Amino acid sequence: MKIWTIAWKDTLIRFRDRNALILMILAPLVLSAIIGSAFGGFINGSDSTPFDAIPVLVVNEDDGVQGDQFIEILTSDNLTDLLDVTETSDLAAAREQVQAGEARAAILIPSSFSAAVENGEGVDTAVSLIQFYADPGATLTPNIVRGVVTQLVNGFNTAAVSVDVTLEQLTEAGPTLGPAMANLGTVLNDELENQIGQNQISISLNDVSVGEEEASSDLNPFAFFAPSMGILFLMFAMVDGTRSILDEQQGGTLDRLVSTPTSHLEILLGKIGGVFLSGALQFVVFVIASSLLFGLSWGSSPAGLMLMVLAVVLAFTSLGALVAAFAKDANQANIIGSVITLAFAALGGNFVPAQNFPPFLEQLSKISINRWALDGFSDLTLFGLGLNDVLLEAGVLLGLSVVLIGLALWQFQRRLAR
Amino acid sequence: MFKKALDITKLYLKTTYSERSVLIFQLIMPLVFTFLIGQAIGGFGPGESSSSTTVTWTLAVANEDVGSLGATLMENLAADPTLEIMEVTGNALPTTVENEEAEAGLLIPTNFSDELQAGSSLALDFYSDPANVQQVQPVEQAVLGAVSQLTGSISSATISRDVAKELGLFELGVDEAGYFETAVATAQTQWQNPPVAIQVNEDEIAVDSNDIIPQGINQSSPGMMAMFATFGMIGGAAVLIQERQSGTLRRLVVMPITKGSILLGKLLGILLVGLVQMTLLIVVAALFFDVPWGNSPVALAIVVFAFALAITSLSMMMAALTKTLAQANALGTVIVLSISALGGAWWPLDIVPGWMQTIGRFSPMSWAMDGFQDIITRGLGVTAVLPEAAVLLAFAAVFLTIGIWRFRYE
Repeated sequence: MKIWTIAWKDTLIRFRDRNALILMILAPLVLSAIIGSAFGGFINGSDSTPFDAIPVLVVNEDDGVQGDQFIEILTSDNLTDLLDVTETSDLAAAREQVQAGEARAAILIPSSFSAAVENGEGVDTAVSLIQFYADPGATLTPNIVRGVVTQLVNGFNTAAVSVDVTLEQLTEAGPTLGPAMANLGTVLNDELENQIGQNQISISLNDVSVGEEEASSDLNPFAFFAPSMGILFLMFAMVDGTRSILDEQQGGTLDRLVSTPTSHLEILLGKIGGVFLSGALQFVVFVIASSLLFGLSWGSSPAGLMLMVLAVVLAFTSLGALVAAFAKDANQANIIGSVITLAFAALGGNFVPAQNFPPFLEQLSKISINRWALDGFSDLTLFGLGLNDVLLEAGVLLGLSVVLIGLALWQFQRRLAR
Repeated sequence: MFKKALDITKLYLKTTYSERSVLIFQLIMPLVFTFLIGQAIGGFGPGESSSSTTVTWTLAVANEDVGSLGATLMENLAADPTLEIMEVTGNALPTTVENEEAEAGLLIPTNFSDELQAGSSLALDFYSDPANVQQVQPVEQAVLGAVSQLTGSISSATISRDVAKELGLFELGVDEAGYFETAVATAQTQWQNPPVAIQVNEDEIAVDSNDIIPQGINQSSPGMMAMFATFGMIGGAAVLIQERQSGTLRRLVVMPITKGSILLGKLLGILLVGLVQMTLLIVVAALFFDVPWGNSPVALAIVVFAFALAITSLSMMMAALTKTLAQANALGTVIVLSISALGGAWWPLDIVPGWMQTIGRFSPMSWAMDGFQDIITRGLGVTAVLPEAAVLLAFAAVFLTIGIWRFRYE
């Protein structure tokens, strides 16, 4: 009963502190919103192109029709959302602009282009090279432009190769065909016009998922990063909360409690319980706020979610308590706590998913509470799994909590007895 | 006045550097973050640095096609230097991928050739574990490349066949299927040396070692430096607020020293701590992480200095606009993390939507990152970073004006 009184009082104090609320609730929401917007997906659905049209420069040195056609396709209506194409005649200036980052790529259509496409007679023809200059400072956009240009060039090549193949084969069959050969030119042109660019056959890939985790219908990064930010700021708050026990010891308020007829264990459990309770409340508020504000689904398993929240909050509380118990003073607890928080956050994947790490780091990340917490929440939010699938993660966290809190209580009691 | 300001600065530096934790938070933590985030978004390090260009992925393929086009596709796949092909049976395909013997699996169905010859499109089953999205994406791209080469050949062969049909060749006893097969084979050879090709030029990057150093560390090194330097300098605001709360400032004011000297001294201290921190981080990153900090130390110094000035001023504004230490700490954390994320310290702004890039422009961080990228990735010099430096100085002017105007000594 006394434990509850202490814990509840501490929780109330915490939730009346506006500055604490900024860090507990506002910070993870703001950062989730930023990351969510950065990687698209949650504001207007995910259908729109996540980019502004990419600035691209084209220099056409080709005199023939094919060069003009190339530019015509590049500037056609269905590409205007993707590419912002400017034609220029000065290659050196174009490259300078690309290097300075003002355009993402420059494309040079060489003077040999039309000739190569039109008389591509066999493999020994001089190959025409389209020069592609990419912005070295950009990572993604030049690749998109390159993809488009590759597709275009493929189209021209298909036409050229088609002409080649047809001529080669039918010249061989000439004697068999006889007078019908006279129509070859017209028929070939008709077929080219009919088939190139029109419903060409295509082979697509049909993704089949293997492994325990089902790909959910909208695999948005937000479903990963919102829990991630929630966890990060929960950790900050838990480490800070347990440290404040030392503040109270140094400030003397804890001594006053000790002088009342309350056992040391009760006081400690009350204090640590208060941290746990405010943490659980913090996370619940975050879950509700993020689902209301961002429409984020926290999965279809309330039991699984509840278990994970409890396990994660308990694990961080225990870790914080351990740090506070063994630290020399509040200042040292603050430093050690911050270091562990930051190190665990980076290693455990709060900033970039640990799955992106090379294997040795990916394994190492499992020493952090954050990794298990993130895995568990990802199972729920990202992969839509249920209670059974988070039992491992929750089990590891709870087991760890028991060990940490046991050590913390033992040391804390020795501390208070002094 | 200036001498007294310098005394204040000395005092500030002494207090800052006598703190045990300064080494951890100003140097070790940013380096840990630089390393970890660099690893995650690029991958580098002992034994791996040179292999980044020759990474191969294993693709399990089950070719059940009864015709010849399946084999042609296999050839195209095998020709891709990034793919290692592992032939399996259709039944074994899912388990091979599940046991992570291969990054992904591809099933070429029995009717593959038939469908393509009939001119129908089809979808191939591509097996992957969604938990490994990162590894699967390059494999998928490689498969799509091999596939598009095949469809190109088939399109050409189809045209050739249709022309032959139109001319009546197959009514004269020539085998249509055989003709088509020859056409595909001829087209395949031609595709190996197509009339038009694309030559990709990463426009001359002055930094010679750039092609072996992946993007990862080149982004995370300046990014984490900017973020942790900001944390450090914003901490200076906390010192000012603490001294105001404890009355130290008020006592200083009654001493024979002008208010201006006090502020100047403190700001100089904050600026110096930031400059020292960034200089050390740049040196360590260059020595241990091989980050190519460009070939213009002057340009680098300009960006670092302008950025430090902007953040020092931001710190001043924070000290003026917040009342208590707790408030400054809470708001400071939110602000630093937000401007870092918005300003491209965590990931290159290049990958976010346009409107987010526009918002990012309001973060001084984005201008600093632009400057660092001009230097590191583009290898540019002083003239290229002057616009960024100018914007940073403008930020500094605005923040400083608001800060001095609103600052209270008690």
